[in-house]
Amino acid sequence: MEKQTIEKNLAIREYVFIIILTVFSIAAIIASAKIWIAHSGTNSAGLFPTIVSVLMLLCCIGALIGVGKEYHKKGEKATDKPLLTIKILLGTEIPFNTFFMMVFTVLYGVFISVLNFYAATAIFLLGSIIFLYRGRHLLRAFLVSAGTVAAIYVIIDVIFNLKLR
Amino acid sequence: MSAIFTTFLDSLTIFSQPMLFVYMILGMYFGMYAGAMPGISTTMAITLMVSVTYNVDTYPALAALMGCYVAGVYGGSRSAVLLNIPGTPASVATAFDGYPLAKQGKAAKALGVTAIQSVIGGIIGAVALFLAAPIITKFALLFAARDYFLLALMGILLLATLSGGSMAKCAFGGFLGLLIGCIGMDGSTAVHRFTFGNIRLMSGISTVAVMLGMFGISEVLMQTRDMSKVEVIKQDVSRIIPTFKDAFGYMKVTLESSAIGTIVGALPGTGGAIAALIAYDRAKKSVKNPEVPFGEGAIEGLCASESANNAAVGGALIPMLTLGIPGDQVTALLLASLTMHGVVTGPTLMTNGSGLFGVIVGLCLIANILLLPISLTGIKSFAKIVEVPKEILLPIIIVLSVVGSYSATRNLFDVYFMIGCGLLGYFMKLHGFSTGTVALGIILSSLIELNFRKAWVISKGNIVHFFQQIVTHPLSLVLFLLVILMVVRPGKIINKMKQKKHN
Repeated sequence: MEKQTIEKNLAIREYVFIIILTVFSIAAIIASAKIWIAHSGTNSAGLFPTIVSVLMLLCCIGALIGVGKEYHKKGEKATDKPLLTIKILLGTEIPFNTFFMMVFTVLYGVFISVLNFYAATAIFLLGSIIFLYRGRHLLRAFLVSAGTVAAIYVIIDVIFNLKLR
Repeated sequence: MSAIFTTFLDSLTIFSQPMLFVYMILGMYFGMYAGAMPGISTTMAITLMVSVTYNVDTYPALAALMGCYVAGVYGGSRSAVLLNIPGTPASVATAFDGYPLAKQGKAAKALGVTAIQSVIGGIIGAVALFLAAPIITKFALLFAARDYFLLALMGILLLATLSGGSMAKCAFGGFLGLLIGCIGMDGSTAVHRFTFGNIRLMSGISTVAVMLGMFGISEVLMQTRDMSKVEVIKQDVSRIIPTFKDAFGYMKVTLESSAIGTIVGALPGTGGAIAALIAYDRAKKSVKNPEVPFGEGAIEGLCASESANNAAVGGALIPMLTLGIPGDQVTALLLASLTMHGVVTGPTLMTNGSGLFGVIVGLCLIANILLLPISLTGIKSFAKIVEVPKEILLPIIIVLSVVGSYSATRNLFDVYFMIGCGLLGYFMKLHGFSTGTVALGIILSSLIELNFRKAWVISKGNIVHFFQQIVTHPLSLVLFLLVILMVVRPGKIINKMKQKKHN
């Protein structure tokens, strides 16, 4: 039953994503047009981005029509009870594993600026491996993290002479 | 004819200096492993090599650089096959069939085939450089700005059609890439575009960061969706050298793709990425009954992509040596290195009696021959990468992606942008949008915009004149019709009409 609901909600998830892209395309058109207006002329820096963002918008409209046709063909409604299934919608769009990795990857980027590259890498590797193994193989996680950081240091810092600090 | 003979004699002088081979082999190993590491592109490897060879004599420096270039292009296919992350833009198409083969436990076979095909394609490109440099140069000079614009646009639409699924969704990625490519200070008017007052955005967005985010991070996130579904496939590494059939059984595809690679590579600004995509598309259309469908591990797909991108190396050297125009970023660096060593490239290089043209051609040919034994080393250990448990491999891929984007510019902003691209790429992949087209879009953005604006200025900003220019020039007209055919896809419409009639 839950699976069916998830299937039915695929349409609404897809609609939401494409609508976000549509809004982004419209914003891009406005920003590009502003450049075009401010710097008009044959060789205007705003002309090309304006054309590209209009094409993006057209693609979004095309994609929306495509999604509509696809789900119409399958005879599926977008959703039966949208408010009741928000949890399922989000859970299907970003399962917990993926959500954790997303957050941890963003934090990794933050850690690099707060700590330094090697410390942040060690923390990220250790944390994500332990999480993906669900707390098992702790020794393996430590060894892999230490080994990877050491290998990166030797290859990038010593051999390639690129300082990642 | 006498010019060819002179070039041949000049190239033989390489054999009088055995140390050149040592420099070349060192350069090749460096290039191959740098190309295989996501983020450490051939361009970066050549940059490092230029600084290392600065104080070395001209010939040894050229040997090392040429080896690094040839092997670097091949090296990009290793990460494309094993991790679905193209090490270089030229190996985007290699991932289409290489990665499915790795998922079937045939990574060693895929790497073996890519090695052989790279060698064949590279040799064909080098021979073309040797025999047909003046003719190909003349052909390349026929291309006007509008033709480059149409050709690059064709590259994006090609990838959109090859990605399968909805054309609108896949083309969106390409246009998004083009828009991202516009970020920063405009090269010709110094106008700030989409920088929002941020000084770090003024120099634009790193292509490497977008590529790693769209391919690497998004792939990791996709795989974490359901870890129970992610299986570790035992790789068959019993046979690394491909069978005779895998190596030479698709010669028609190999020869065609190599010819495409050489010609497209010779067009300044295009490079191996477009060449490989055009060749892949051509193979997909010409091979009627592949043993395995394209995109699911077709050997023909690997042959097309790999022979074309390595043939493009020889092609890219043609305008650099004969006209002094670099074909891509790597040849621009090579040109800079030649200038540092006091070599002036251009039409006189072939006739000034220095013999350097012959030596460079010879080095390119020898590098491609040496690529055969070198490219077949380390395959067993590389193939084992896919066997590493995903709980370990996935975080390491993220780290490598961060290393790649950070080391390219040492700008933390690129790391954040890469992570952002990764998150966007995840949602795009999830909903059937192509991420490959975004990467190609940003790679081709400057080429497309520059040439579009040139053509637009030539037509005085008049849309009628713009299209008049296209339809009145045969080459432009052919390219324009190809672009239209890609958008309209008449084959699909006819099939639909037939289906409707049948129903």
